[in-house]
Amino acid sequence: MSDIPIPKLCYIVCMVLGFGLLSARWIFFSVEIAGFFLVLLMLFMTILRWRIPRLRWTLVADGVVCVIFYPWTVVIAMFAGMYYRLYFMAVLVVPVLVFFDAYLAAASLLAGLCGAFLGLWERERERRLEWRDKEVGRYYELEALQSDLFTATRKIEQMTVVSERARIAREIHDNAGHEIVAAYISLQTAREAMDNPDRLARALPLYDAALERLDNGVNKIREAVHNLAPVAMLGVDALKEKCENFPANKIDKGIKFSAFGDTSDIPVHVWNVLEACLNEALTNVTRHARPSFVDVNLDATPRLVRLYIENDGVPAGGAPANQVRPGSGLRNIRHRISAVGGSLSVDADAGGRFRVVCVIPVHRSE
Amino acid sequence: MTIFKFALKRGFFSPAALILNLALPLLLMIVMRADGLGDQGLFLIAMAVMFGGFFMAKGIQNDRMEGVLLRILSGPVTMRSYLIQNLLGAAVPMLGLSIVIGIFGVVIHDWNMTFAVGMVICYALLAATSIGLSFVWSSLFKSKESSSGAFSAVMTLVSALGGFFVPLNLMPDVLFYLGTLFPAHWASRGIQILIDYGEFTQMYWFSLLAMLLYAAVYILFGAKRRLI
Repeated sequence: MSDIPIPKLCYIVCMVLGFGLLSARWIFFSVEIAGFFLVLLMLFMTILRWRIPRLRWTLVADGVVCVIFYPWTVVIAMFAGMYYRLYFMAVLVVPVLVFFDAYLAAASLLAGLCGAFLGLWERERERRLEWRDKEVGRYYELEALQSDLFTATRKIEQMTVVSERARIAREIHDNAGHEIVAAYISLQTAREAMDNPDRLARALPLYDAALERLDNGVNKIREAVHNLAPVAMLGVDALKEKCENFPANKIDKGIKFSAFGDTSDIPVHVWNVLEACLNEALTNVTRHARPSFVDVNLDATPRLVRLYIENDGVPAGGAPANQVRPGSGLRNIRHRISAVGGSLSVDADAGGRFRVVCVIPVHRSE
Repeated sequence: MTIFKFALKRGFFSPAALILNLALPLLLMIVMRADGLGDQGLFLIAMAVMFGGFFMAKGIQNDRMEGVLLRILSGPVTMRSYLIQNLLGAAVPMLGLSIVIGIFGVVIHDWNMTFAVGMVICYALLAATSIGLSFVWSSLFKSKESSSGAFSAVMTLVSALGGFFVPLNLMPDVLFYLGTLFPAHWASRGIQILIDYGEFTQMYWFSLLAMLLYAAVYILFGAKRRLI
């Protein structure tokens, strides 16, 4: 019973009540056999239509038969017809009014209006349910997309690491490796020449050649390392650079950045999210507050990384205490953080201080 | 037809159904005249048929409560086929019983053919409405306790208002017409007409039509409700 929606429940109750009243009227006021069979037939047709919804058009036939044979049943036919949007059945009121009774016509009209109201209510509920289902579907789609994106990011990260290792190995093997091997062979030859007094004079050039090759090798290793060094800042350096280079001329004490813990093994995708979070927070600070200071703390523990951004100077009434409603920027950041399994919380106090705390779990490589 | 066969077997081997569907009606047929019951015996047989029909289709309720239905429907069986076969499994023995009663009447009590056929149709349709009611019962109740409690109350009321205990013509008007809301009343009325007139009057056909409509309403209602 609990899964029946309210408008449908009202409809069923009204129908049961209608049939009950008709039966009672038949028992107490008119006992002609035709009335009984008409009520029973209507009950049969009602259940048939309930069982096979495509037979709802038979309500029109019901209405006509009711008007002709037993006008009291028109009330039920009108109610059911209007519920199922057969609005033209309202014309049945006219013959009832002309040939029978004004009270019965009024009762039929009222029943029709009630039926139409319940029908519209039910349709509205169905539309809302449909809309909600669509929204839920979209939400799940978005969540699946985010999850796919996250998985793809992790895979790209792993592939990048593998290909980068291969590139470093190739650089060392192709450039420095050859020079070092050549120097090793030259040194071995020079060592043999030193053992033989006749060939001692040849050892020195070989030794010099080996030194030269080693020098070349070291230079090539330096070049390779220099080429490998990233141009853009990464990880904690990127956050620090962001804080240092952020246009903070209106902030009296500037932006203070501190990092604690081992940040060496935090995955790249986590840094991306943290950077986006810091960007959004600093942008919000300059847009919505007149701060005298901004503190940015990064705490890295073996299991999680926490970015804490605090500022003052939030105007009174700008953000109700303990009831901060994040805008679209923070909402997007929250979605990104959720996608990596973390959480974002924002908080403001009565003293005009505003805090953004982002916590992301990390799975460090053992 | 496996379900049909199983429903038949289950119906025949149930002690309640055996007593109500075979022993009691036939015993009543035999002792009807000898014991001075007179025509009232026919109404008592009708009551036995009504209860018997109900018990024959009660298997659906047991299937539902014991989770058998869920296991059956996990196989390649549709709900419609399950219901139709179960209803047939209950209806066929009841039709057989009605015919046996008719034959007994002709052989033991010298009923004429019109009376016998009329009684067979009346009993068969009453059994059909009982099976339909049992079907509705199965879809309405989820526990045996509440089902049994409500069953005793409703059936006593139906039997009393239906004219099985007190002849219809002795009833007050309000109770008489209140009884028309139950199929038992129409069965009693049909039997009474056959006893009084010995032929198929217009009212007799009306009684059959009412029982037919009730059976259709019950079966349609029961088929719409979810059993699992």
